[in-house]
Parts: sequence; C-alpha cells; structure tokens
Amino acid sequence: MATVAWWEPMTTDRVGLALSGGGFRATAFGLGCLRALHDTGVLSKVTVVSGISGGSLLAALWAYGPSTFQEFDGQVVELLGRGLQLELTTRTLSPVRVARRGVDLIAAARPDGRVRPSRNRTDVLAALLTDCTFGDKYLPDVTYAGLSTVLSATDLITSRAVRFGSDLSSLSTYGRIVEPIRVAEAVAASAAFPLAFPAVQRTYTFERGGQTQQQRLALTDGGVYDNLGLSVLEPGRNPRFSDHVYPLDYIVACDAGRQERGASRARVLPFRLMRSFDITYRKTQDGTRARLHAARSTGQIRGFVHAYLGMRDRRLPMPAPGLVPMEQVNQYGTNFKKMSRENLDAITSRGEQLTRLLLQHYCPALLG
Amino acid sequence: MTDPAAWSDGQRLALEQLQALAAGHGGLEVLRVTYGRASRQLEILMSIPLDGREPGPGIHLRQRETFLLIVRDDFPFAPPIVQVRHRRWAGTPHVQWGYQLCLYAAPSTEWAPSDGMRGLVDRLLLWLERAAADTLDANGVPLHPPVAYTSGASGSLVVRADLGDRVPWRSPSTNGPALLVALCTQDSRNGERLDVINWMDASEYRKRVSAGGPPKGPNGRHLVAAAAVVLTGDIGFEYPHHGGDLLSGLEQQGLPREELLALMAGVAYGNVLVAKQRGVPTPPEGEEWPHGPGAVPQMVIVGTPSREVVPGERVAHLVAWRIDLLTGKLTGRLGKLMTTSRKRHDNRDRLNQLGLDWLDTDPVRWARVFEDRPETTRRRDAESSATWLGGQRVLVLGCGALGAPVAEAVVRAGASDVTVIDHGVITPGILVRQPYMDRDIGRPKALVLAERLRLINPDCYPGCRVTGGSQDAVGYVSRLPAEGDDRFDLIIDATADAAVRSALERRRATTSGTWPALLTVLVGHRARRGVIAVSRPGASGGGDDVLRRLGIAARGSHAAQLPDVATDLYPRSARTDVFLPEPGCSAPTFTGSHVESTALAAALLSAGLDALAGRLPGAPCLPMAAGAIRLEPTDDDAHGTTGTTWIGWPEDCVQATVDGAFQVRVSQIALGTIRAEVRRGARLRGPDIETGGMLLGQIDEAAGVVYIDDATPPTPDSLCSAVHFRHGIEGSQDLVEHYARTTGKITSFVGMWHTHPDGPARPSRTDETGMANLVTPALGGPPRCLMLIVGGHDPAWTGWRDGADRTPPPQLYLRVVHRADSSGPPPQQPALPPGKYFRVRESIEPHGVPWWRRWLGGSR
Repeated sequence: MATVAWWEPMTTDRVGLALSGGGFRATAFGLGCLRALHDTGVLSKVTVVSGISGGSLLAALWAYGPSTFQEFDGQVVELLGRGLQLELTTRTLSPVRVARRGVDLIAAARPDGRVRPSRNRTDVLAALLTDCTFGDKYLPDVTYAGLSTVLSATDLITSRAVRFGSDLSSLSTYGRIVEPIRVAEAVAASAAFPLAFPAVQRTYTFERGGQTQQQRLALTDGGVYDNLGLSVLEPGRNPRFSDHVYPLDYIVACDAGRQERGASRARVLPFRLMRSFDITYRKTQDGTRARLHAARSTGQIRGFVHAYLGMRDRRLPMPAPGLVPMEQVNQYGTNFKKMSRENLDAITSRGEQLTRLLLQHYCPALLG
Repeated sequence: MTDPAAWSDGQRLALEQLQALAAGHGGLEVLRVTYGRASRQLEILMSIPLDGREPGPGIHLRQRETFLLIVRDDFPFAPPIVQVRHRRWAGTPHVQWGYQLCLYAAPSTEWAPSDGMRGLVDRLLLWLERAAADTLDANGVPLHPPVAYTSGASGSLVVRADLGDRVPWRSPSTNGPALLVALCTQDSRNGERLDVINWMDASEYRKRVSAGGPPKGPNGRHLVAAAAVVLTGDIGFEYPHHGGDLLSGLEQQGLPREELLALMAGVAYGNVLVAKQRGVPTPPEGEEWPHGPGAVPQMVIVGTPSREVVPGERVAHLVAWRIDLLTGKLTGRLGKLMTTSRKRHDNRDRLNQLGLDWLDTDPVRWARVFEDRPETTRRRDAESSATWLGGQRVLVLGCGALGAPVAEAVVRAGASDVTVIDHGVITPGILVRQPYMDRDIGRPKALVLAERLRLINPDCYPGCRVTGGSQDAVGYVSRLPAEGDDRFDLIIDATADAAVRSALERRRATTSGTWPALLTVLVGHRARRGVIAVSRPGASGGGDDVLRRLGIAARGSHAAQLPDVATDLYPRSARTDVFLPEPGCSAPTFTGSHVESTALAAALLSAGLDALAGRLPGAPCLPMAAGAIRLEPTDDDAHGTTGTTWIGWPEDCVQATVDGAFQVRVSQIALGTIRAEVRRGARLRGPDIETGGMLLGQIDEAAGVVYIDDATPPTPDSLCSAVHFRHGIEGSQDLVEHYARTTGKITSFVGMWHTHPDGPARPSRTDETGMANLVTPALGGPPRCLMLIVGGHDPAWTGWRDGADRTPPPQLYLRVVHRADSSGPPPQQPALPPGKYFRVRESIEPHGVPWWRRWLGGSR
C-alpha cells in the first residue's frame, strides 16, 4: 500500500519558478507574479528560476539584479516603459555594425564557412542588454545565495535545448559548456524569437566524461523548444541523463505566452503555418501541465500553480474581486516595444492577482 | 526386512531415495533396514566413506562411519533423526546424549522436504566436516548452550532480572564461581513457578536471614529465594543425570559441595521464614511443605558463560536444578541449624553428610527455564514504533471495538500504567466484534477489560498497573485537573464521540499547562477506513481541531487524495442510513466485523505510534497530523482510493480573547495571508497605511475555541488610511460562500482583521465606535464576531513584516464582539476620520508618484 504524505509545511520548501516567453508581455506579467511571490514570502523559497525569452529577461533581471525587491521592481518598470525596440533599431543601423556585418557575410560566403563570430541583430540585443542592465556579469554571479538559474535557448543545429545556468550550462547532445558565459548573451540567445531575430552563431567547448570538443551552435528563442520553461523543472528527471536536475516541492509557472487566437479560416500559407504551430504548442503545454498535475496527486511534488494570462476568468477556482479581466490584456503583443503605463499596470496586476489567488487556493501551506 | 506394506508412504520414499544414492558413485551403503511396528519408525543403518579428509582439531573421523537414520512416519515433512552407535563423540557440541547428532538448529527453516534424503546426507557431510574442523560454533555466533533435558513436571523458572556484573567473568577480583541468591515471586495459581525479579550476593542474603529479615520486594512484597551459582566455565557439554556427577562437575569448577549445601540450606531456611511472614500455614509435624521448604519449589540455578548477544560480552546461560522434596526437607532442617545454632557441631556435621549423600544419589531433574532477561532476550517489538509506549502512562477513553484492542496493545507494548474508561456495559450484540465473553454480559466494559489486561503480565517487574473506570468519558475528561495533566503521557480517545472530543478540546483550551500526546481514532460507517488525529505533546490543537482540519482538507485542498474520507466521514448532509443495532434508542454505530474493526484499530494505533515516534515517511515532527488508513478497496468503493494518506500542520498562533472567554487559534495560513497583505499594502500605499480583511473559521462555543482558518485581502472598495481602515463589501459575499462551499461549511465568516502598523494592537476610538461595522461589513453575519487587530511598534513591526521566517505578529488584539441586534439593518457607518484615503482598487500603482508624472506616463 502506498503512503502519501503532505506535510504542511516543510521547513525547507523548495520552489521552482518558471517564467514563460512572450516578449515584454511576459516580462510584465511575470513581474506581477514576482510581486505576489514577494508579498507572500514565497520568493525567498525559490531555489531555481527558469526563464524563456521575455521570461529569461525577467529571471535574469531578478536573479542578477539589485538585492531589494523594490529596486528590482523599479528597474523592470523602467525598462518596460523605455522599451528595447527603438534602441535595437538604432544600434542595428549604426554604420559601424553595418560595416562589420558586411565583413561577416563575406566571410560566411567563403568555402570554409563562417569563422568570425556573428554580429547579427541578436548580438546587438546582447550588447544592448550588457550596456543597460547586466554589465559584465557572468552566469554564476547570482544575487541570492543558493539560487540556481536556467535560461534556455534552442540550438537549431541539434534541435535540442541549450540550458544556460548559474550552476552549469549545457546541451544534452554534447555536454557541459566550458567557457564562462555572460548573462546578457544567454538572455539574448533565449529571447531571439526566430521570426524577429536571426539565430546567434556561437562556438563553445563542450566537456563530457573528461573529453572536450568544440561545436558550433545556432541559438534561437528557447520558446521554440518549451515556451513555459517547465521542462527543466519537471520531477523525475534522472541525473544520469540530464545535467540540470533540481529537486523541488512546489512549481510556480507564470505563463504569458501565446494567446488563444479566435476562430480563423487560415486561408494562406503563413497563417496555416502559424495555426499549426499554435496547435502543436498548445498540445505540448497541455501535456506538461497534465504531467505536473499528476505529479502533484501522487505526491512527487506538493503543489503546482500555473498562472496563465489568458486563463478564462470564470474558470478560476475562487472568486477574485477586482480582477483585471482577461480581455483587457490578452491582445497585447509579444514584442519588446515600450509599454504604456496603463498596459503595464493591467498586465502586472493580472499577473499578481492570478498568482496570489492560485497560490492561496492550490498551495495554502506555502503561504503559512 | 519387515513388510514394507506397513510403512508410511514417506518411509518407503526415504528408503527409495537412499537406495538411489547408494546406487551412485559416492560409496554410500545401506547396511540394514528394520521397522519398529510399535514405534512406527523405520531404522536404516548406513555407512559413508570419509577417507581423504584432513584431520582437524574437532572430532576424529574414521575411513568409514556408520549412522543410524530413524525415519518417522511423518517423513519427508520432518527430517530423520541421525544417531551414531558409539560414544566417541560424546561431549562434543551438538551431540546430544552422546550419540544423537544435532544437524538442524531450526528444522522449520533449514529442512527442505523436497530435498529428501539427498538433503539429509549433504547436511550430514557438512556437519561432519565442520565438527572435524571444530567450527560448528563460528566466531560471534552464540554458543550452543549446555544441554539440560528439562521437564515441565519439575517446575518452571521465569528469569526476568539481569545478572549484569554479578557474573564472575565480569569481575577481575573473584576467582571461581559466584554464589548468589535469586529473589523470586511465586505464582499464586501455579506454585511450581518462580519468577526471578532480582539477584543478591549469597553472603548478603545469609546476613539478612540470620537477622530474621529476608529481603522484600517493592511495596513490601514477600519474595522467596532460590540458590544460584554462576560458574566460570562449562561443566561439560551436557549436564549429568545424577546428583553425584553434577556435584563433582561443580567441584571441578571450584565449588566445594559443602559450600553448595550450605547455600541451599540457607535459602531453604529463608523460605521457611518468609512462609511464616506471608501466612502460609506450617505443616504439622510429620507432614511436608507443599512444593518444597516454605512451600517454595527448591531450585539451584546453575549459570555458565554461554550466550553472546552483544559481541564480546558473554552472558550467563541458566539452568535450574530442581531439588527433590525429601532432600529439600533435609536442607531445610540443616539451614535452621546452621543459622540458629552455633554449638551443635556434631549434629550439623552429621546432617551435612546426610544431605550430601542424598544429593549424590538424587536423580537430577531440571526445571524449565523461561528466559526473560533483557541481557539475553530481545523484545519481539524491539524494532517497532510500539517501543514508544514503553514505561508510558496511558489513558484510553472508550473500551469498544477500537478502544479494547488498542488498550490491549498498549499493555503488551510495556506501558507502565494504563487507565481504561467506558460507561457502557457488555451486551450480546457487541460480542460480534469486541473482545468480551458471554459470561461478561451485563458487566461494565471498562472493569472487565481491565481485569483481562491485568492478566497479561501480572508478575512482570516493573509491571503494568491497569485501572478500569466504569464512568462517562465526558465527565472523566471534565474532571481532569485544570493546570495541565501530568498523570498521563498519552491520551487515546477511542470513543468516536463528538462530545468527548469537544470536552477534551475545552479542557485543552482552558488549561494552562502542557498537554500530553493525544491520539483520536475514528472509523468510517462501514469500517472500511479509519482516521487518526495525532496531537503531539504541547500541540495547539486536540482531536477536534485536527479532525476539523482534516475535514477542510478532504473537502478542499486535498479533495483529490481524500475523496473517500470526505464522503464517509464528512458528508455534506447528515447521514440518513444510520445503523442502530438494537431496538430503541441504542447508540448508532458502524457496521463491520471483528476482522475489519480490529484490523483498523491496530493499523490506526500503529500509524499513531509511528507519528509519535517520528517515523512517518519524510516527516518532520509536526505538532498535528492526521492519517487516513484504508483497508483494501472493495467492489462497492466508488473512489478506489488505497493506502495511507497523511497530512500534517504546523502550530497555530494561540492567544486568548481580551475577556478570556475564548482561546483563539490563528492558523499559519491566515497569518501568512495577513502578512502578505501588510507587505503588499506597504509596497503600494506606504508602510503607515492600515489594511484589513475578513476572517474565516469557526467560533466553537462548546469548546471555547475560535478557529481562524484563513483571512482574505481587503475588497476593492475598501478604504485605507494611516488612521482608519474601512472594509468594503464588493465580492465579500461571494468569497464567504466560496469558503463555506469548499469546506463543507466547516469554515465560514467569523470576523474581521485590520492592522495598526507601527502602532498598538488595541482598538482606536473610531474602532470602538464603529465596532459593529468592524466585525460585520453589511453582512447578515453571526451574532458574535471576532475582531482581530494586528499591531506592534518598530522595529518589531517591520521585522515581522519583512521577515522570512514564520513568526507571529508582534501584537494581536482579539475580542469577540456581540451584535446587539442581528435582525435589523446594519448600524450606521460612522464618519471617516480625516486623513488621506486609498481605495484598494486604485492603489495598484506604486505610491508616491506625483499625479503629473502619472499623467505624462513613462518612467517614474
């Protein structure tokens, strides 16, 4: 007979936080979630934060940012209000970069292939992030002791996830990356949404079982692989096969990813492709969520919260007076344009309200 | 060879198997087969070649050895007996009576019937090999104790007291045997049985007896005695059959026979003295004492270094030589002479010689020795959580289908004091599943149970005191002392009675001292599952509290894990199919057999002890826990839930209301919500601004407890300022209904909370005037409500607000407010005191941003 126990609470609750992709929309929604986690005291129990794309940006801003929440909050609000898009365009079109880019392209055209590091728009994003927030910080330099970070990108060559993290960075096909990696570079790679940004070309030294090898990667948005950032937090991962294994008691997922699009006839190819992409996406995410709910009911994890921006309000498990309605925020795009105060307030409020409410309902012991 | 038709199938099989072996190349020969018609035994004489084996330090093996196999008619389900027809191996370990080989120490596990004679021959060869090498007793393995062939007719000796350091090989100063006296209780029903409860040096004993005061037991209990000698070595592998052999064996070990006789005489005389003290009539001249001198069976306990339980620490193996009645009489006389008269030497010497002659010619009879010494035995429950009960004082409320088996288990586990309380009498119907007898019908359950439990180990020292009280459990609980109870270490509530739980909870709530551990057990209405509520010593909540929590979990947060518990024990509406076994107003009960109720009682107690012993899976020692224990699901179990589910809770924040009428238990979840709101308010509106919300829980007037299960944030239309908090109404009714619905109405609206940041936790003037509004924001609420003010001055306030650990707020003000009239319209809201007010809905943007910057938008 199986014995299943819920000890409310454990003194050493370990919480895994997943911040989904979805541009600034995800950053703002995630900020709201973080506010709720801060108020309820859950944020200090977070032992691993996993970020994708816009979520990576937020995860890095928190994990490598100022030590007080108020300062971090202000920094994110400032960044969202300023936007990255305009600066990106300015920098992309700067004469120096255009000239270098030209050299790169010529080099790439030679028969022995591209040997110089790429300087495409994603590299510009990395440089921009270095300049305005992360500076020269490297991945192990987290602000909070005991916190692990995982910022995921996708390698288009091996079609596997590249996990950049404070403990280690790795790609399952090749092993661990030996070189130190800048936070800004990891965030930029994770955020390089393939339709907006080109893939970043990088060559890293990989180590596995004492053997090292150099391999070239083409890095793009982590959301291509798993837009929720949950796969690295799932229970039951075996350290023999995965480099990133984090034992957790609770998992909190902030999801501001792909919104439900209304009915569409999808007559032309791009829309058909988009539609197909959406469906595949949704089904994989549903699968991940179902696995986590199953893990909760068998006691593998003690609680699971999935705060989804596009959640239908009437399906919430308890009344939420004053909730920012889903319709008010659901159509906001997934880009890095500057965000208006109204949109920022609405999206962060919804994130905060949903997280608070779901925590209270599904993980009350975590609040105590 | 006799007619095989008379043999059993097994005996024919044995011979066939052996002949098959003989046909092989091993050289085994079957020499002769005889069948004893009277004994129904088949005797097979066989020989085995043993040449080519290395001679060892053990027994000497010839080129070929002959063995007699005695095959009984129950072969192959019991191994044949193997004997030799010579005395060359006598005195060797594992050779009994000098000719019977002890091949199997534990035939039930070592003998494989399917291996038959082949297995026996293999085992014999292995035995011979080891006996030749003298490795039958491997290092570290307990020595085979010297064999003494005992008989139940020669009396019995239960050894309960450790010899400890009294054994001669433990003390470097003594050479030779230790002379001791075993102080014993004599069984009142079976006078032939002695229980050794202590040991004493023989010289000390003699001194006491000479002084006319043989040693007594605890509480002045009369103790009888038996002589004991502990030798430094073995007498030989077997104890002899004749007194003469035994005496010379003892002499070889350094014990002169005169000394032994003197010891026996002293003890016999002591027992006669004790007989007078305990009022045993002295037999008239010419008649004998029953059993032995002083009406005590006379025994000489002989100890040898033998068993090793802890490696390197050899303890004594004991046998008890039962002295014949006549010899006993003689030693009794002698003892009297030796201790009282110092002059009549001749007489004494003559008697002495007579005594020795008697002993010499006596056949040696051995009494049965039942070991119960902690130093040589291991409790069968040693690895169990039941050891938690050892020496504990336990109160068991209820002696029914749950209480009676639970109380029995508690006594067997070694509790020192058990009190059983039940006001019921035994009826014919309960015999189906409760451990009572037909002859007990009409008698009080508690008294009958206590009588039976006392029989479990009455002479065990230190034993278990069992008290039965045929009285109402509610009344008993209410009379428990108010300043905490130190008479019990554990209370088990097996009454399944809400009134008892409530009375216990009231007692806990109004008691100043620390409470003992409390286990509350219940079973479902068909005895397919049970729940146990565990409150560790000093926990804030008792059984009522923990079962309330379990109900909330089963209906809400853990509905997926406890669906069966929710429908069985926390039905949404009162059960209509109540089972009333007897006509009239008999107590409703569950249906279920002895099998189910006893299985659940045992499983529930076992789970509770695991919890108290801190042995639950991955469990911290949480003060309160509840376990759902299930029997395997049956075809009519809709949920199919199996196994055990545990839920545990941390300590509540406990404080009395200002008037002391109620004990308020604020859950960590409610405190967590309040702190989250305080943080949020400080982040959005500034650290000085008050905030507040509703409190959800229950006011239990019977138990005198206010439970606060959860708190809510302020509604969007609430108004907050640094001087006042006014709770709004928007959405509050929905929230209250949500809680009532998801907890099966266990939790509902009980009051309001608000904060006084960096201020005293007491009502302000505005709070006082608007008290009615503070506790019931326009809701048709209950007539009594709790007002909770959270406050405290800095730095304690800020420390609590921003702290990461679970600490209660620096100050709590708690008051139960009575509404004068709950039927009329809500009283007029007092005017808001002047100040800057935030409406909760609009304060979502960080405070302190000037309006013009907000209007301009962009960054701060």
